Amino acid sequence: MHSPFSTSDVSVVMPVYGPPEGFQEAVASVLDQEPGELLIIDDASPRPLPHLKSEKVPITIHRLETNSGPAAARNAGIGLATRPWLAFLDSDDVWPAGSLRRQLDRLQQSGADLVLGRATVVDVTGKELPPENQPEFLPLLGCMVMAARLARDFPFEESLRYGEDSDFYSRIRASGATVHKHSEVVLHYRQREGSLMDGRSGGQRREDFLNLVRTAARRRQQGRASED
Amino acid sequence: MKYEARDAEIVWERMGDESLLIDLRVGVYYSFREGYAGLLDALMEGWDREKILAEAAQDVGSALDSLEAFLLKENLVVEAPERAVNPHDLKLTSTSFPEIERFDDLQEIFEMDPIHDGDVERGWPVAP
Repeated sequence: MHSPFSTSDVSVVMPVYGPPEGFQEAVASVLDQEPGELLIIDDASPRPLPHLKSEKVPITIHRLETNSGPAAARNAGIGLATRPWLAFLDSDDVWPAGSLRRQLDRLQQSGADLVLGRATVVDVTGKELPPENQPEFLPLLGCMVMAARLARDFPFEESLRYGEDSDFYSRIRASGATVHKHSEVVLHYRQREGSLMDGRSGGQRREDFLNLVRTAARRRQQGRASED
Repeated sequence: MKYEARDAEIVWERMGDESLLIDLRVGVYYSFREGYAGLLDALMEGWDREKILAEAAQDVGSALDSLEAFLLKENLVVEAPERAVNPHDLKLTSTSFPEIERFDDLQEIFEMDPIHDGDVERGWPVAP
């Protein structure tokens, strides 16, 4: 019997800009689960971050000199991560108590490279939306824990303003990495104005998907050019 | 014979020396390169098959046969005999016809996050 994966084997990367309402709640939800480290990447926020302290979890705050977007901020965090497993949490979302432990248990039981659970959407006050308004299965980063090497091998496409998480996930899938999907809720996703999912019309989402296709095609073209 | 995209869910895009057909009904896409890119562009611009054969500098008959059969088999185009031709010049410069590729690497995401309209009252977009 292998000893269980430890939460201290996980680096958590949290990009932040603002900081937004709910930031301290997001941080607290991570610290409560005692990961190996919390890497907060401040994407040149206009306001100072609140003071953060933890007795048990090392917190690193890395400030980017210029606002570069969430993909670049996450890549900076990937570069700083020191633990074998990696997770992401947006700076206004929340991990329910015990979710990291349960994600690791599933990783160990399945032997997968990445585990993907479900999200429950809450409104700006933290109230859960009714069942009919809950999402279908989405590859939200906050629902994943993965081998850190995957994130290093497939960094986020920084030119994508939307869909960079879907692009990231699709490349990991295409690499042959094993993914264990399950239906347990591991993320409280806050629906907020201006987010990818909030209020994006069918036309916008259509354009998001087309952008993903263009990015994938461009990447293949570059691959062919480098082979020539 | 002339063709057009089956409907608005079939998106044709040129990217450098490659043409793409993206099927937004199911989240797959197709890559046409070199000679096939030129032929696809000609068809999607409304060029008539006979006109393409007459104006092409080389014999593209068998490649055009293959392309038409593929597009119809994949349900990407419909016949459109009355369609007006786009007034662009016909550009068929490549004599190489690499295999047409179909990609479904984004289909899982598409199925998890299908394209559907959001509803202000109901909040989260729900599948139709």
